[in-house]
Order: sequence, then C-alpha cells, then structure tokens
Amino acid sequence: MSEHLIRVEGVTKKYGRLLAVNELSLAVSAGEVYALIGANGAGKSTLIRILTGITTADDGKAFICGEDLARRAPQVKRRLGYLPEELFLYNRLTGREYLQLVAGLKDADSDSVLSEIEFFELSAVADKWVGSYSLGMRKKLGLAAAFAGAPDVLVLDEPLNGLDVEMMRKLRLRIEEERTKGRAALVSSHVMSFVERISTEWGIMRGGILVAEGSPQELRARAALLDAPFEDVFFHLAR
Amino acid sequence: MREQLRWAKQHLYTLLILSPLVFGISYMTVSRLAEEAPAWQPSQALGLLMAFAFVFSLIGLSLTRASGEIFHLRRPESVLDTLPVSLNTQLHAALAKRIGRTLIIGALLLIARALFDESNAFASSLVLPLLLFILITSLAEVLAALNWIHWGHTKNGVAAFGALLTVTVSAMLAGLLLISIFRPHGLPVFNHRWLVICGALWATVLYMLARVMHERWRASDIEYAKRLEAGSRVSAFGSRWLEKRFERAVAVELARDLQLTLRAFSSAVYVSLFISLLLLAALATVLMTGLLPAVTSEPSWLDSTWLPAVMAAKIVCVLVCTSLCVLVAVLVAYQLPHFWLERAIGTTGKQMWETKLWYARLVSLPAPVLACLVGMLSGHVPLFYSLPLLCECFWLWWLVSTLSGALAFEVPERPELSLILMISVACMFGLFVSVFWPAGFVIFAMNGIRALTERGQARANFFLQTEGD
Repeated sequence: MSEHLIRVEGVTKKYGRLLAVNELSLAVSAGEVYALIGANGAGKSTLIRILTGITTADDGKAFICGEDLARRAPQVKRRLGYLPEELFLYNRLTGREYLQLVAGLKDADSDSVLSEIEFFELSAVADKWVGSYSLGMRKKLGLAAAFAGAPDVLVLDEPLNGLDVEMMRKLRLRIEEERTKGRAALVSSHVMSFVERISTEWGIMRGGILVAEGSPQELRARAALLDAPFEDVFFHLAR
Repeated sequence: MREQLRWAKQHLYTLLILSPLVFGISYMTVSRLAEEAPAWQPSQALGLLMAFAFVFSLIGLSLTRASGEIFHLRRPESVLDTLPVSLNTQLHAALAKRIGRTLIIGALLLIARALFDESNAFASSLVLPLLLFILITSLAEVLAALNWIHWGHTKNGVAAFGALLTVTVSAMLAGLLLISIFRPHGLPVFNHRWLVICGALWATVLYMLARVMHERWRASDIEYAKRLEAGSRVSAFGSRWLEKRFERAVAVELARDLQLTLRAFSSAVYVSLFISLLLLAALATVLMTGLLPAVTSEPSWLDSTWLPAVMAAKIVCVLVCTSLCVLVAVLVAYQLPHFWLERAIGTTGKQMWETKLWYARLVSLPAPVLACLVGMLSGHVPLFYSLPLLCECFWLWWLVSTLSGALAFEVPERPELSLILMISVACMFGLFVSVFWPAGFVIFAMNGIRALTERGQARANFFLQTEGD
C-alpha cells in the first residue's frame, strides 16, 4: 500500500445541533489528487478545516504525513500548504511582506517567495498593499502562500474563484507537476471541468458524509453515464 | 446612517468611556497649558501666516481621504456608481462628509478660542465667519482632491495652475476668517462685513467650480484614482535583523506587527501616540511652571530618587509606557480573523506570546528615553542623577512592557476588558515600583514573571486550540 499523506478516520464535527461532518473517512496517497465535491453546506470546508488543524474534530482522527494532527505538531503543519475559501489577508501589508511572513512561519527558504511571486504573476503588485488587490490577485497571493516552501500536502479550498483562464491553466499544470513529484493534494471546487482534469480520486459529499468515492472511471461506471459530462455524474450520485 | 448607528452600538465602550477620557485629559492639559503659558501674542503678519499655513495643511492632509470620498475608493458607496444616482448627488454626499469632518475642526477651534481668549465667550458674531470657514475649507478640500487626481492622470498644467491659484485664494480667505474668529479686532485693514460677503461669494464660486469639474472629469479620472491608491510601499521593518535576535517565526511575526503599527492598523495607534505626547507635554508643563514642591536642601545621591521632578519623570514614564503597551490588546483583537494562518501553519502558543511580549517592549521603548530627556532638559533633575534616572526609567519600562505584553492573550476576543486589565496591572505595579525601584525585584524574586510567562504561553496555546471555530 502506498503511503497515505492525508488520512481521516471516522471524523465527526457538530456545530450545536448541526452535524457538519459525520463519521467520515478518506485517504489520499502520495502522487494523488483528491477532488472533494458537493453542494454548499455539504461539509467540505469543515472537513478541510479539520484537516488543516484550524478546528478540531469532536470525534475521530486526522493524519497528515502519518502524524496525528490532534497533537498539533508544528513540524507536520509545516509540510502542509493550505488555501482557505475565505481569504483573510492583512490589507496593510504588501504581497511580498505577506509571503515573507508565511515563509518565515513555515521556516521555508526565502527564495521560494520570489519564485512563487513570479509563478503567480504577482511581480507588478508585490510591493503594493494587499488592500488594493483585486479578487483574482488576492486568490493568486493565497495560492502563492499555499505553494511556498514546497509542502508535501496541498489543501486547496475553492482555488479558482477570481482566477483568469490563463492562471487556471497554469494552476492545473502546477498541481499535476506537484503530483508527479509525489505530493498529495486535496482540492475542493465547484468547477467540474477543472477537477475532472486534475484529480485521480473523487469524493462526493452530502450532508456531512461521503456518498460516493472512487476514480472518475469508477464513478462513471457506477452512475452508468460513461460518456456524459461529469456534472451529470455528480448530480446522479449526489442525489 | 443605519450602518453608522450599528457601528456606534458595537463601539459603546470607545464612545462612552475611552473618548470622554481622552478628551477630558486633553482638555485639562491644554487648559492648564493655556493658563500657565505667557501672554504671547503673535504679530499680525505672523498670525496671518500661521492661519494660512493651518488651512493649507488641512487641505493638503485631507487629499487622500477626500479623493476616497469623491471616488468611493474601497468603500461600500462604490455601489452608487452602478445605480441610477446622479453625479451631483454623489458630489453632495462627498461634500457633506467633508463638511462633517471640518465641523469637528470648527468645534475644536471654538474650544481653543474659549481657552485662550480672555473674554472667554462664544459671541454670536462668530457664527457666520465660522460657518464660512468650514464651508470654504471643505469646498477647497474637494476641489483640491479633484484636481490632484486629474493632474496625476492628465498632467494638464493649465488646470493645475488654476487649481493651485484657487486653493491659495481659498486658504487666504479661510485664514482671514480664522483670524476674525480668534481676534475679531485684529484685522484693521479688512472690514469684517466685507470679509463675510467675500467669503460667501467665494464659497459659491468654489461650489460651482467643484460641480463642473466633477461632472467633466469623474468618468475619466475614476480608474486612475483606483490605481493611484495602489502605490508601492516600502518595508520599514525587514525581518532579517530581527532574525538575528529571535527565532524565525517570532521574528517574522514581530516584523509584521511593527509594520502594521507603523501603517496605523487602527485609529488606536493615533490615540495612543496622542496620549503619550500629551503626557510628555504635561510633564514639561509641570516641571517648567514650578507646580512641584520646591527642594530646599541639596539632596543626597540616594535621596534623589524621591525628588519631585524625578518622581514626576518616572510616573510619566510608567504612564507613557502603559499607553503605548496597550496597543497589544488592540492588535490582538485586530488580528483575530487573521489567526487562521498561525493555526494552519502550526505556530506555537509560545511563539505567538513571545511575539506580543516583544512587541509591547519595542513599541514602548521610546517612553523611558523621552521621559528622562524631558526631566533632564527641564533642569530640575540634578545632573548627577541623570544616569540613575535613565536606568530607573528603563527598569520601569521593562517591568510595565513585560506585564502588559504577557497579558496579551488573557481575553483576546474582548479588547475592552483586555485594555482595562493591562492598564490596571501595568499602572499598579509600575507606579508602585516608581516610588521604590528595588520593589520591582520582589516580583522577580517571588517568581511572578515566571508564573506570568507560563500562564501567558498557556493562554496563547489555549486560544490557538479552541478559538478556531
């Protein structure tokens, strides 16, 4: 069995009476891209917040690179690159300063900041306040922060909002490149065409549980929709 | 209006307690300064120059804010551009905001007049010049902002020259009106009535000009205004030099915190700075005006620590340190939505706590130097006690900043409670130790700082682990 860089075992999370995630288990191996899809309120972001250690599960365990996240070992989190859906960035810092902060906290090489600025085409605005950035630029900055320091595990929550077509393509190629390097990624997105092209494994969530899981071919076969757009497969399985 | 009422509801503490406190202290200090100040009267020419300079500064300093109000830069009002709202309505809204802000200046001018003027009365004859001063200044601010953006966009020299001329005339008229408010009989050359008439006519001209320029230029200048706001920024605090002294995670966080403070992340930065300056001014006043008991005999070296001037300098040192250190509480509250980064990356509570501790120490570092300097320059601190006073002030700074910084994560989500806690603890210990400096060692001897450190780090860890939801 290949090494699981992301592993979730029977995770449950409640907010008051609302059961956001219900005894959910999944695993992502090295060299895999796992697409987490589902309607709004399905529990994707909660699961991601548990996976990144931002919030703790009421029950169950989450492991990153084989380490239990409940122990909150900083070394483990430094191997994780995370892009949250809702980006809270310091408006009064410049993009470069923000990335230097992230690199410093990750104890990553400062040069990685420069390469990420270049890759995500932020050079022209790197020394301007983040507060003046457009939605797309903010997303690029968040992505640059997630990729800084070459993390082993990438967790990207809605990475496409605000990105232009060219950057979407660059991001797709970058994720594929990271995958071939043996890294693992978990991506949550509503853009089916994007996730269909990058992912090796799918997980469809509804009401806090995984209702279907498998490779795109397996899911197509299960839905008996071999040639239909994946959107139809999703609707069929998520129903 | 509704939004502002809701904002006021959320900031009851600031509005009902903090603001009256700040204004009260300011009023008492300034009134004391006014009472003690010698009866200095500037010459007519100097008075005119000061008034022009004041109005020019007002117009110059408001350029960014006024252009933001006119072009709705990063403001919820930007939605108005997409709705069927006329350009004149938008200009009137921006002008109303400007007038609202200049009204505050007008009110402060009235208070200053009451403090410094012997007659000490709010004469009804002041109303018209004051209103015209507010109107002309606000209109000139709007006009200057419109032209500032247009000049940057088109580099139209003729328009810029015309604008400069208009603003200069406006500043001169507003300056004359200002003088007529402060010294109603100090303008023998200008007739008071004619000044008011000229002011009213000029205000009408300014309004017409602003209206025409806004109508003509807005559509072409709005994109430039947005780009202008995103100018490049220079980093004043690189983390490199901090990394030599601190762990890397602490160094980068500290660089971020200092950078945010330098860029005034909250209006509390201004308030804190203002209170500190006020306290130092109060110290200078107290020392210079002989308010303190006179020292009859030559004090011995050991007794000098209780000299009135030395005690005053130490007390002010504690208070200035406290006023600067409490920024920690505001900073933590400001950073609450941003702490997801620390949680996701795996920053430890110890690192976060250490950052805030050193932040408190660094922002309050000027306090001991300044308090000591004011004390020494006054000439009331014996020369032989200058160095010991500096050492005492540094000792007090270390103690006050350590106590304040250590409490950073006690009640992070309630900045008002955090402020009260920090001020109480810092003032209590600081003032006690300022009376008898070796008393500070008792806190160390009783393991007080160690216990505080452990508790602070535990609180930061608890905050990291529990507040993510």
